[in-house]
Amino acid sequence: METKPAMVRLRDLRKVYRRDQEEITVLDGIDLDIEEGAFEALMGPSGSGKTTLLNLIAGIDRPSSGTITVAGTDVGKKSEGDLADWRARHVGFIFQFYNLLPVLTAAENVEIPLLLTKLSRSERQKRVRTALRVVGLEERMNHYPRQLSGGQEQRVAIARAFVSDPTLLIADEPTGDLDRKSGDEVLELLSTLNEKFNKTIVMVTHDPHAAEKARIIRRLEKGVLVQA
Amino acid sequence: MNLPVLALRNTFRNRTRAVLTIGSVAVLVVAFVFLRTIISAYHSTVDNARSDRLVTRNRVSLAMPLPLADFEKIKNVPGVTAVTYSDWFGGTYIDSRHFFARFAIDPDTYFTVFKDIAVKPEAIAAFKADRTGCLVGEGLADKYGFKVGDVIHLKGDIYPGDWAFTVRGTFKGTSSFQNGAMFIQWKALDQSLPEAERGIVGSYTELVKDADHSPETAKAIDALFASSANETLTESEQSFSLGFLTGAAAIVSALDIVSIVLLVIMLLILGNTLAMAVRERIGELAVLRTIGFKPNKLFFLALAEGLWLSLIGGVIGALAARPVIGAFLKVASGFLSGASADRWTIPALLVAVAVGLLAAAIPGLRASSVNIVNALRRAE
Repeated sequence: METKPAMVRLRDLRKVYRRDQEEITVLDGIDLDIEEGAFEALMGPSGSGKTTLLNLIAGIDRPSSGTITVAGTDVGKKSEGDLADWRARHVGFIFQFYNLLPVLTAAENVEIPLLLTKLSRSERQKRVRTALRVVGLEERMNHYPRQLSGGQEQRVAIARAFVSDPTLLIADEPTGDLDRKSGDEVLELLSTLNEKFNKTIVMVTHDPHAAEKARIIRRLEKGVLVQA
Repeated sequence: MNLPVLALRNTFRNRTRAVLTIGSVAVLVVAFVFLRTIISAYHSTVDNARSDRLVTRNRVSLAMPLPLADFEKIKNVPGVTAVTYSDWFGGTYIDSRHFFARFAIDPDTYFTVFKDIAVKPEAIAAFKADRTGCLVGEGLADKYGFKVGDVIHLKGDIYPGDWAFTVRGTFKGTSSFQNGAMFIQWKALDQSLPEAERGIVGSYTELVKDADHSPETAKAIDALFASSANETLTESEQSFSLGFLTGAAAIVSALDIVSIVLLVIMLLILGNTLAMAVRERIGELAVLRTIGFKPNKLFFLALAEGLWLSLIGGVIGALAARPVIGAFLKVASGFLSGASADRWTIPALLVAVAVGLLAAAIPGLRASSVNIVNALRRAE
């Protein structure tokens, strides 16, 4: 069987937090390869380090030791400014609570990552329209978040995550705040992005039903990968 | 959509707070323009006094007159190139609330000494030709709508009687005090008096050849009248103006400080609003950082929000300042009678914007230094 190159490569990754005099090891010697085009779910009990691992892969947190390589880039060695540029180009983030800006319409929320590019206004609007079409909300593009259901808000958030065509999609409990029907729609959408658009997706979830949509399920316990 | 638009939307996210903050900025801008207008009017009166002009008055008091006979003697003092005289006419226009300066002057010499007063030769000629004519400052003309041919009725106090003067022209002085003044002919006033009361003036003003030697010239003038029945005190025009406005000086100094305090209050109000806005939006700022916004962009967003608040408040305040302060100045008197708020509206707007940007600096730094992981955790 042909092995695809690793999109994400973690080696001996440790994350230690210091609280007062106490050291808390959240991740302890993680070695992990995630292939390009993979759809992986990270499961585990609360406090097992899932979100921390996700944050490290996404470049919004720094490891205490070890290396993180994403698409050939050593993320841990980048400066704060370079890391911001790198995230803008390579990572799309989907949050549990959508985190749309309430003062902007759906289209404007999706446009935000494109403000960091050199695209013209018309090109940005074209891409926004396409992204909203993919998530099935083109006709709701001028609606504000308060005018959308939770599921619709999360679909807008997904459009925002992939509108700039990132290498990697990171989803932190994307169905955690949704009912089953809306959650299924969101998972279906993620599967489509993975299968049709070849997006590499790493998703943290507590929900076994959600995890089933992923092609690989990994489990974390007390900061250690215990099962893949 | 772009970042300034996002900042504008954020500005009005909490409408009540935004409206109150903008209203506060607007009120403070009006108050600032008001105070600066008063301070400017005062300084324009004092600071526009020329160093090559001296004023000679009775040593006992400004209220005591001097004889016209001194005119020729002063004219011949070495260093004096021209001399004129004037007298405070006083009187009441409508009632005591409508106070403005009224001087009886000698038109043949006055505009030679006060060559910085802009007045058309034909206006001077018309004034000279009419013994009951008068000239009015542009500020006074604006305030009461006086135009050439109008008759101004005054009730005399120092010089009792009902007086009527026909406006023969306007002049533009160098201070709000001058612009709010009215000139009548000294000669006409003198001739209307009983024989025994004629030939007195309030003060002399001299133009000197060399401003650097004006103290010596002042001494020479006073020496002429030493031990006479009417000893004189000659001083620079600026000292004379300060003495004239002596009561106002302390108040103006206090207003100067209060105008700075207004800016500090504006800074605190804007800073408080912006700090609250940033604190409430820490989670959103973390989301923007996650998406790839650099710290400087978040700093810019906070600055832009400060700019919007101060700009909108500043524009409203600047627009309101003219009618509000204008209404006050219409009934103001003394050195304020010819003052205008126009000079301070644009500077006040610019100051408000600068204060807005300054107030946004600390919230901006906080926005730009947000810890993504902690902020996201708190937001959830």
